Amino acid sequence: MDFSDETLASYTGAWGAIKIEIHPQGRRVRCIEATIFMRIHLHFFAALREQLETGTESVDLPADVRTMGDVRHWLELRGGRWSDALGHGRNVRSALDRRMVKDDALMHDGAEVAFFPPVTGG
Amino acid sequence: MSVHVQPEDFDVGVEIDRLRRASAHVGAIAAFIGTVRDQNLVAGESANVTAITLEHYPGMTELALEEVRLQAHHRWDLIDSLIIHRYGELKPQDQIVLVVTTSSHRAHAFAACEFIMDYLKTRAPFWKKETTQAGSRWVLALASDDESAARWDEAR
Repeated sequence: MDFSDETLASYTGAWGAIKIEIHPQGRRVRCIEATIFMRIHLHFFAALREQLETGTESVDLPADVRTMGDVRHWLELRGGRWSDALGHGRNVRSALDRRMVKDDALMHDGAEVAFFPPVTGG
Repeated sequence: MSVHVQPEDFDVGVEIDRLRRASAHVGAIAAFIGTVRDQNLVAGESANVTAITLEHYPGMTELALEEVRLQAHHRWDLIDSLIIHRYGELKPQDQIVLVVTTSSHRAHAFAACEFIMDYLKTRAPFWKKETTQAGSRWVLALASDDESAARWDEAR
């Protein structure tokens, strides 16, 4: 790496990512942006699980994915059976840490997030 | 424990006896048992059900049922209540769910029992899959269940 002039660099690790600005003349490094990944644990049930062919999955959320609605939309972007199952208008319920929530619920690191069809017990 | 989520069958008489003996203040006991039908009549279509499979969300199911039970105790004058809900493979005429409420007054016992069932049907994370000669398919939630639960919503 040639540090003769100011240089921008990015590094991504298992923990997250940083963008830094390197000033060789002043011998310093400035952190421009740092993102810590948020890891959530997804669970799918019943017909939805069959359609997605996925029972559980752990994912690291990008920085701009913060709410339950964001998570659903982000999963839809996978396309194919994901957008078919979770797309707009689909009757999918969601739970965060084992409580039913709406799209505005906020994610946190280690959250248990579940998606499932309307319930049919009793 | 007043909420049980289990694959095993239950004995209604034993459970009611236990609640009756628990307190001398009990003057009224209301009970509901949900069982597996052999026919699913949906919009004119009927099929002989040979088995059902009940899937549940371990951890959330118990929490959801306990919340429904606590709401019932908050809204009515109950001495005690019990919810047992099975999961796994069941056959026609098998018992699925038991709800028992006890009170000094029959009006409270009756209302709370019905409330718990109506709320359970729309809030407890269970999913039924029916097997017939044509194969297996997931049962769809009914709008009428939402309506039954909604009538208990308190006026704001």
